[in-house]
Amino acid sequence: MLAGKHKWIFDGCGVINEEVTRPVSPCPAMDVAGPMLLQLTNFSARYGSIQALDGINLALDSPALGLLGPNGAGKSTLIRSLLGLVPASGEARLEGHDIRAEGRHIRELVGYMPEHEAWLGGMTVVHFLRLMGELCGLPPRAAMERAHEVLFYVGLGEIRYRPLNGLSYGLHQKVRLAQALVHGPRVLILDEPTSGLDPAAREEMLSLINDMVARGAGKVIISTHILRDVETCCKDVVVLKRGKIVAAGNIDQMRHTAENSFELRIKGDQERFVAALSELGCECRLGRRDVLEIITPNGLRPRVIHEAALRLGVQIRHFYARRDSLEDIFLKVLEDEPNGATDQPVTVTNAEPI
Amino acid sequence: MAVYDLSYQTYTGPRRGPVHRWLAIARFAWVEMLSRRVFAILFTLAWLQFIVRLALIYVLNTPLLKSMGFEALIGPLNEAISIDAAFFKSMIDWQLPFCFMFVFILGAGAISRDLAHNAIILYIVKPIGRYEYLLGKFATLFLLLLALSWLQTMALYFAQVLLAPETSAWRTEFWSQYFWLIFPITLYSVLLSASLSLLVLAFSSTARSGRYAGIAFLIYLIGAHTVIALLAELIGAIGPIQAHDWFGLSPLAIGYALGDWLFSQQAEVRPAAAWFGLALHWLVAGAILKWRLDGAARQGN
Repeated sequence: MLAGKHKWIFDGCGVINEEVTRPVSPCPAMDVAGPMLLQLTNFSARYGSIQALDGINLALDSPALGLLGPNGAGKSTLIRSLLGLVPASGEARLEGHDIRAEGRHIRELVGYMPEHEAWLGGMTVVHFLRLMGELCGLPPRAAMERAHEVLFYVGLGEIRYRPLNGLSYGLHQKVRLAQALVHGPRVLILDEPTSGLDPAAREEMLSLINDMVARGAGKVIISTHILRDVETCCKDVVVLKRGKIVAAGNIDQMRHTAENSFELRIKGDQERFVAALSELGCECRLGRRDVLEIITPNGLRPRVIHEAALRLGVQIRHFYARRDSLEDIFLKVLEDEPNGATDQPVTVTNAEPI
Repeated sequence: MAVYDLSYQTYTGPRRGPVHRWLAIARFAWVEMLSRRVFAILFTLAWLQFIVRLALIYVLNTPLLKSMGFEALIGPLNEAISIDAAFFKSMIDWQLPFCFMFVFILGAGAISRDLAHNAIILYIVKPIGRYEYLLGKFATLFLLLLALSWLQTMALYFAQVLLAPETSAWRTEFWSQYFWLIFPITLYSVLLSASLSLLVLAFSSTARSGRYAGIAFLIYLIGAHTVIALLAELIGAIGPIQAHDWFGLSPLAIGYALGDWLFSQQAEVRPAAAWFGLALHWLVAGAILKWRLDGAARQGN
């Protein structure tokens, strides 16, 4: 679990997170304060009359960040702006580098996997990757070696001499991931990495991303509207809506906001039990499958629920403290902010995640 | 048995400079081109004229025919073929059909194929930028066309310089009569290669199919010339604009007019009109390419 501080360890070969349980390098570890993943100040982008990003303020560092939001929220625009593809105003830094002054350097640091199918006709998989490597400045021989290595890593070793135009969608998705990795980026940006994949391919893709994060090979930003992907791979999340940030923070800490919420199944007089809890100031709601959802007021301990049940002769069959899923958090922040977020700056740092 | 570590490894090796990066685009395109039989055959055929002309230069400058007993041929050959400015201009002009073929086959699909496969985004998120992407595509065609026009013509020029007999005008009056030919040969080849490359790339960027882009380019070349010929006929001269100046808007006429002017030959279209037309074509082609690439970047494909 990632709660409280995220601390970085530099192992001499790459940055790894201290909470990774499988250190991959035998190098002696030492503490280093790395640059922030994202720093945005009044960051805006427009497409004609449409304000795609509206004055975003954010300071955030994370080994794996999920960008969430409904369609049209501005996730892809944010990524494209960071890569210098879409003109934007305001200030933005990625890994400490100014996106305007150091655009080329940023694109050297970043591996980007686009959302849509993208490939070059008339090439084999390995030659395509070699070209992508050479475009990033790798010498031809090194680019070829990297192409082979990365293809084996993503599980395409057996098909590396096949032409790109004969591959299935799932394989293309992996090729897109491979081309993002071929130059050894420090930040990997994945735009909808699992959309359109079957469950097996999806699991495979997520496990690859998780492996990258776990090995500390680089930081990962995943833009998606599939919440489970973010839940599986990411430590932190930024939720966007209509070009504004509606929530940002550590996923586990966001879940803790639901610590006074409980779910019960009871046997006995439900009406009297609910009435008794309501008198104590609890909010009660009957959920699906006769599950009673109870939110206790702040300061009221869960013990009072048991006492009320004992007093009324109600048998509690099932009782647990409810933890919000990412879906709950997502839906809640979208409901809370029907017209977008406040303009307050959001800061999520290693030291103090919100 | 060796055990290979298939886990993810970061790359920490050396990186090359920007020129190597965008030149990789051209290199991969040439390798792909030469791997196809039709291109390889076409490329070989494109050197035939050079070989024939080289043989002519050799025959006209050496006593080969005499030694082989074909003395009777020397006189008519010398009368029919004179190695001068027109010889080198016609070399470039006769290479143009091959240049056009490569432009249609290789150039028309250069960007449209990337558009069809949403591949532009893959290039421009790499540390090369969209203009270097264009430069890579441009270099693919431009250098190929230069090889077919400038390289071959210059090779003939130097062959003539080397093989000309001591008593010939090529030796006695070289600096006053023939040295200057280097400049028109170079300029004419560069202008033709650059213009053809830029125009076909602009057409290629407007369609997702290389075939349609090629057909549209062909229609433009022929259609523009036909329309302008009609226009010149109908409108004629207006003020300082002469009737022939309208041809400054036709890409075909521009090429020939500039060639004639550079090689000091009589041209129907005035050089100013041709230069204006050329600049206009380059500007419009550049604007189209910028618009299309910016759009592709914004849309993420």
